[in-house]
Amino acid sequence: MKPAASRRFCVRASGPVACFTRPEMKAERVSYEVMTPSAARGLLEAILWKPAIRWHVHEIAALAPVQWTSFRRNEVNSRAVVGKFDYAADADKERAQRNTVALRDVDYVITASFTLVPEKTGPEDNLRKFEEMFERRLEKGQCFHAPYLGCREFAARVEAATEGLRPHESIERRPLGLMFYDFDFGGPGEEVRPLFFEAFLERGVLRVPPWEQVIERNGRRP
Amino acid sequence: MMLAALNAFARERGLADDPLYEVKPVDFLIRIDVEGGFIGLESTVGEGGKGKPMSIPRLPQRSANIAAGFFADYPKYVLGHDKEESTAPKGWARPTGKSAAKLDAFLALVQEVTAQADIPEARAVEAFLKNASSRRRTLAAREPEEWTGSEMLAFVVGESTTPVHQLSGIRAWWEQRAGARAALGKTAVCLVSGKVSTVAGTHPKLKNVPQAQSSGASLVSFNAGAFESHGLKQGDNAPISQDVALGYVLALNDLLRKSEQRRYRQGIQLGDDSVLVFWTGSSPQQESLLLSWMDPTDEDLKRFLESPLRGLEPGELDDRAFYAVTLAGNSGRVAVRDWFQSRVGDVKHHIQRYFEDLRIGNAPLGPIPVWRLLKAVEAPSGRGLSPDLATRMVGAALRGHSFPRQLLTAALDRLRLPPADDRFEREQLRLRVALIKATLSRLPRSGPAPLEVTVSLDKNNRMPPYVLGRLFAVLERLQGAALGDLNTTIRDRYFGAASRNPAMVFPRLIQLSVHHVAKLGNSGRWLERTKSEVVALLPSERFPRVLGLEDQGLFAVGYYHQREAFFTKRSAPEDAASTGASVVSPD
Repeated sequence: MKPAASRRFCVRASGPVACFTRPEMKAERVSYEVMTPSAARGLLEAILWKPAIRWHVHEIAALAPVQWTSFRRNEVNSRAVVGKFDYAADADKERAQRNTVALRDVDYVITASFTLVPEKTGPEDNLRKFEEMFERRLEKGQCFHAPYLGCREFAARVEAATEGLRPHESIERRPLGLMFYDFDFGGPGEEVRPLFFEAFLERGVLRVPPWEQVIERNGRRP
Repeated sequence: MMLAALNAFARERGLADDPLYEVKPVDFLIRIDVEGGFIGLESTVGEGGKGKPMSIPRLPQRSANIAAGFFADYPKYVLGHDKEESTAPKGWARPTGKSAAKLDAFLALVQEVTAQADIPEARAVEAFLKNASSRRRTLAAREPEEWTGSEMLAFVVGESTTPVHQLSGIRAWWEQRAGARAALGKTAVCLVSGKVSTVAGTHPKLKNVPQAQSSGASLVSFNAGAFESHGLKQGDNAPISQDVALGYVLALNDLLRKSEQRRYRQGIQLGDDSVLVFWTGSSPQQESLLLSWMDPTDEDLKRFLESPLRGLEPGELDDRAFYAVTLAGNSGRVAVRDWFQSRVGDVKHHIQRYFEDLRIGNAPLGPIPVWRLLKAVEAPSGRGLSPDLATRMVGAALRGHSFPRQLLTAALDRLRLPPADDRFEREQLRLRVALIKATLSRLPRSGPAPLEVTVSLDKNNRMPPYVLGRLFAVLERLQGAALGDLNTTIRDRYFGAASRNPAMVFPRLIQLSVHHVAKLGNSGRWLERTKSEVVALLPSERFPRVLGLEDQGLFAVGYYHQREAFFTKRSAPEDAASTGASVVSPD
């Protein structure tokens, strides 16, 4: 039986710069044309996330035309290490200048809902409680960390979507190629694997397939 | 999308038909007998000084590692001969160190074949490779100093004409081995093709990208901890199948290849560190036409003089896809600077508009190489333009967008400096003003008065910056006519100030010009008349105090138009009457 889902929320996220990095071009970043489902999930989780809920993104509507920009920044070659303060401050070999091809002036409306995770749900948890929590937090502008557009440094302006917002494009169906869906973390001890889905922009709206369908498409784990 | 498009291109043009073999010039065939004894060294080098192109088993990726080819390779691998290691003739008799290891690697592959399949030719090659005296005899077949180390060598056995690596048995074994190897690799859904296939751990390398390593650099690579996610290693971070990885690299390498006329077969160098390559779903002929428009060689320019708009008329393949990517090398890695996807027809339209925007004075409509435009606005020291300016400008031209503002500032800054070289001054000035004009006419059209910039002199234009620019040209002309050749003209001294703060400079210049007219006497009367004509177009109140950036641009365009009008009259006095300025010749 499928777990009961919350009602669908429409959240508008916009910002001056966004980079939804393609996995094959992530050393010197190149963005996807449209926000990916996992980026949308991350943005929603910044507003509300509890172990008991799992977000499902259904639609991402692009309100603004796709515009590109590129810039170079000083970046580092290694990941942050716990317990090593300011690990890249003066190490020349850790630093590198890298290019980013990002999106400019993006504006999206994300339609999403969540379900409860049975094994994490306590006796006092129910859908209604979390729905109200999310609405309240969105209204007040509360978040666990700043919501962002693909990269932490590209902060998003987030608000509840109002009526009457229209996607920018009116092309019937435009293929975007395979797009990153999310990670399949698997069970304990299993390897993490990326999942992909065939993305289309239908009249400016990216319809996101449900998790089960994507798992089917990518093949079940052996 | 980009990799998918490249992959489709490779398939369409048949670049990846044979993933296990590649066509390379083979310089020498080593003929041996069935026992592996040396018979002769046969040169295939033709008239062009190059060996005969032949399909050989694809050579493995090499940098510092040792990786042998399969039955065909360079002397280091086939003969264990390395020019650097062997200085004396005695030295090359016995391979040592690295050459020995390379020879062993080559031999190991051959032995793999003989162990698994019964192919007499393979055994002959094995015997040859094990026999030092045969190898010595092969080397002795040419003078030691003739060996460069970059000769491609292959084998033929006995009387046969087919090289060993092309024998069907050898081919079958090689394919079977590749299949077995692929089966060992990790499989996943390829993010380009969507098929479950073996993931490429590392990708093949791109050659001939500026600022990248000459041995090649990868477009898709994960060579530092910061690029890897969730403990995934190398290619697993972005699962791409081996076939696709080879396909897109072959496509890019084909586009980046050096050709006889160009540095890149189908690419345009932008700045020092990047190259724009493009491809279409249309025909190669159309691609070469587009290329000759975007980046004309001297020969192309000559051809365009005869038929200016050839190839840009709408055609039947206009709805095909057009892709362009700007690549920049970053030592071992290649970065994407810009990526653009459109239709051939739109691109043709945009290119045409771009050259129409650049057209100024009586110069014919035609392509101008990008590097020449940028050279004209560069500071004399050769520095000062940001490295991605060319990328942004060409990107804007292909998309039909407005130009980066930096072009306008750069061109105006350059105009304020005295000319660096008199010989090219007129041409350089034309290019600078052409850029200014194109930038102005591409400004986002908002507000009540769109900026219309004409190709040549517009006597009805009453916009003060334009008229002031014209006036400046007349005053310069007056000075020139009165005083002859000067070290420092009013242009050298006042152009910058006059375009920025007309109220400060023009009253003084006009006063000065009264003396010039007086000195010229009768012959200066027509110039004086032009001057008053121009002044009459100005609003009656005083000169503007400050001109903004766009107005400064317009000033420069006005200046250029008036100046060119003088030149035209001198060369064709019969036109003077029709332009209505004066019938009196300046001389």
